[in-house]
Amino acid sequence: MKEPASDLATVVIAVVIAAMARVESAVGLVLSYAAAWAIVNAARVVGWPRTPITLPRLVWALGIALVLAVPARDLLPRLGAIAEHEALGSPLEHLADRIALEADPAIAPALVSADRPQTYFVRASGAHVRVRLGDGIDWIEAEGLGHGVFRVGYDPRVQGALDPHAHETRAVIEVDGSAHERRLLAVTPHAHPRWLRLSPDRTRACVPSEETDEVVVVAVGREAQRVEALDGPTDCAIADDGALHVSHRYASALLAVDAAGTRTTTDLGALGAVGLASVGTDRCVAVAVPDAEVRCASGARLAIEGTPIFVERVAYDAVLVATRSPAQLLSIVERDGALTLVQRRALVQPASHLTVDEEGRALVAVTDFDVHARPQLGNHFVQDRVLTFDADLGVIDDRRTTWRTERQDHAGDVDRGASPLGVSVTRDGRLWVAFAGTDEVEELGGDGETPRVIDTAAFGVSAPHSAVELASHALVITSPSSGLVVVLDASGELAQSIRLAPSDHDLLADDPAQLQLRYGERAFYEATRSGVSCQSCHLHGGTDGAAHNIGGRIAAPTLDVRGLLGTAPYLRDGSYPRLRDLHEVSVTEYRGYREPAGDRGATTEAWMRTLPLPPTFAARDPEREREGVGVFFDAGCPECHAPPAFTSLGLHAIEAVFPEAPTGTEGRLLDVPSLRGVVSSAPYLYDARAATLHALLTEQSPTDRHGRTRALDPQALDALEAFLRSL
Amino acid sequence: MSNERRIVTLALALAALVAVVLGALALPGHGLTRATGAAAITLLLVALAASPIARLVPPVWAVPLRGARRRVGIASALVAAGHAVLALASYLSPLALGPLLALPWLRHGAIALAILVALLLTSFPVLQRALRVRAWSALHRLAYVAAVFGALHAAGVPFGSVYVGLTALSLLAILLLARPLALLLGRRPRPDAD
Repeated sequence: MKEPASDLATVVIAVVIAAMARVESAVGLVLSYAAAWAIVNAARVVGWPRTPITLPRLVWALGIALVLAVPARDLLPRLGAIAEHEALGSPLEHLADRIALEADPAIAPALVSADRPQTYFVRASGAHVRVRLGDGIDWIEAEGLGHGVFRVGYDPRVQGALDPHAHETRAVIEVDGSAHERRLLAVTPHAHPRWLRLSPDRTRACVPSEETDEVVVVAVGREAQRVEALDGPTDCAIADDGALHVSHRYASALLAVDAAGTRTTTDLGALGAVGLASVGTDRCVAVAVPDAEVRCASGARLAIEGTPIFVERVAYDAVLVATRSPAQLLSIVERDGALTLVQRRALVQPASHLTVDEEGRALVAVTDFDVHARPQLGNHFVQDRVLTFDADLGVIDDRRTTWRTERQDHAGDVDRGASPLGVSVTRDGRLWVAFAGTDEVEELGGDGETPRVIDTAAFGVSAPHSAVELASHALVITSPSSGLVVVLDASGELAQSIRLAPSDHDLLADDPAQLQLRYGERAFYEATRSGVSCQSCHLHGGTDGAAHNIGGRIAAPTLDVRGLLGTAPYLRDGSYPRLRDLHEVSVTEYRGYREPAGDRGATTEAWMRTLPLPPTFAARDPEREREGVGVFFDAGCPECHAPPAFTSLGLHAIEAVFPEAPTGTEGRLLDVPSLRGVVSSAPYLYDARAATLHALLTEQSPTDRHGRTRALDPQALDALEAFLRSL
Repeated sequence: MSNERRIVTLALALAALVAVVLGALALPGHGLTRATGAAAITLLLVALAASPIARLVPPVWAVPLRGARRRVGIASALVAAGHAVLALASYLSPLALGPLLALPWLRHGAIALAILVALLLTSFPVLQRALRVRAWSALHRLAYVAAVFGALHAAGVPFGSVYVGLTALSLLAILLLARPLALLLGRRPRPDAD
């Protein structure tokens, strides 16, 4: 056999072997070739064939084609699986993201959201950097932090906003006078009315829309009132005197608008308020980041553990705060002008909503609960419930909400009561619950009673977040994803539809891309047949701050979904190069969805890409941060957490970075997470074993393989922490 | 100095230059590993480029190119082995074989290295005879496969620039296209029998 014949024979035999062995990896293909070569080589060693096989070339070609046809038919369909196994399935997103982040200069995140202040980081080889994020936006001077890292603070209210219909912007980065253009995704979110608050006499309800800086006040028989708020209204309250009070995320002031429309503001001295409640005659807010606390207009303050998500008044001088990381309820009272923590109740999962009934009992919607606060280790375990706590935070009622109707077509499916996001109690003790997962509002009866169900989709209300009953028995329901508030009369008929954002129909005609985002947001909240939705763990696109068993091996902390644009691949092990492919999990693991709704994977991906990073509001100390950047580089952190995104988008084996990793983690991969917003993403590391940044840098890094931080002196460690907190 | 030596020297100089530049650009602690990896893939690409170039140049260069190809290929395998040793002594030191092969970019590097070592062992006439290697050409075509996995390894490695891997993949794509083109355009007889 001559060399060309040997080469051809090797390939043909390799294909046959690969097909017979059903190989699904590159190693398998190479081994098939090696085996084929061994056969051909052995044939040549023994001198086979003894005499040349002389046939016309056409006959040879036909023979080879016939020999190859069957194995090739078997092998070709498996090439996709082989590509996936070698992480070549969809490398374009990953490569595109890496190329964008390695450009000089590079900017991250690659998103401009028109509704809130944002911080960008630029990595550039130069001394002086300024940035213009798009047409209509002023130039912004970047703050140099050293090592080619620059910080850019953007506030749409100060530097100007993008064209609201733009979906892309051309940012210009000027480095030492040289201009570089970078394309960024642009988004102008529509109004999102979320949780309603009732006035004391229950004749009115208010709801803030953080995205459009307004509060809507609804009253039966009257035109809805849209009140302009400060930057990022998060909660509202209507006082006995009819005044409207509003807390804000991006403004440090409380806004009060009296019945005559007179506006007054009270500066609380802190950004990041997430909820508003009265303590005595004092107005207090729960502040989430950078330091969690309850802070009142009178100056009273109380630092709390965890990240507050809801605050409710339970008595004249007492409030209840629900937090995540850890999931808990905190009972706080005001005594002699000071706030005091009097009780703490640990939860397994944080509250999806917190409300209080007329008797001061707290009602909490959760995705799971155990009386001993032991986490459930079932894979992606979710059991939606509404819990009732007495004044001592003891559980007096535990009501599971998911149930099945005759609409179900598979055993074990649920199609009602998934993702309770808004709970309210009527004066006579009835319970209204808004279920974002199953597009309905239920009036929950007593034990064993079938709930009264209002199908909100019939009114154009998707993924309802809140439902409250006014004194007139009219029901007010909000739908953030539709930008809609509806009022139903006592008989359940539509009485009023308050549209704060364009309808689906209008968007289809005028802005189909924005409609795609809306569909994606709905799909994110929509429950699968199993009752689990994306929202179940990634609360409102963020995180529940809990650890979940997501595959039977270790409980991993829930990842924050915000700010993930340009950071492919996804999931903790980087197993998904494209976000849209995660849709397969909902189909294969959770039995899919009951209703067909187009390409949920594509729409959900489009929506998630527009979620900005969570704000940090860290107190700035530029000198200390510059020192921290130096420590960051000296410790080798950029080897993996490379600026400007503070991730290199690389994959590592756990033991390579954490040799002390527990048994059971062998062979597990780690996608390098971004450090942006790290201050609010505790607990840290792949198994949530570092409760604080300090622990992560010290006792949880004993081998110096996760950054050379072991020998850092306290001052350097402090500077590094300050820098990380500022991200 | 013979033309073959000149070519080999040139290839080694090119690899050294790439190694120095990329090693210097690497983050502290990764310089030597990065430099050896870059040198290995550079030498492999030069070795693969030798055949198509030999078809297009006069015999005075074509013949020494053939001889140089083998030497450069051997150098590539040796440097790649050194690169692996450095990596195993540092970043990979806590890893068992299983996790190493679970990580795509590490697996790609391991495949490339395994092929290069096999080719190295069958590049010496003494060993060829001892191992009774007859179908030499069919085995050594795996050099292209090694280059593909080497380039994928370079593109996936989390410490370095993705541009290194992309450049290697681009050059390899050009070589794969150039080989049949050189076959069509080349007017000179094949300088070697394989």
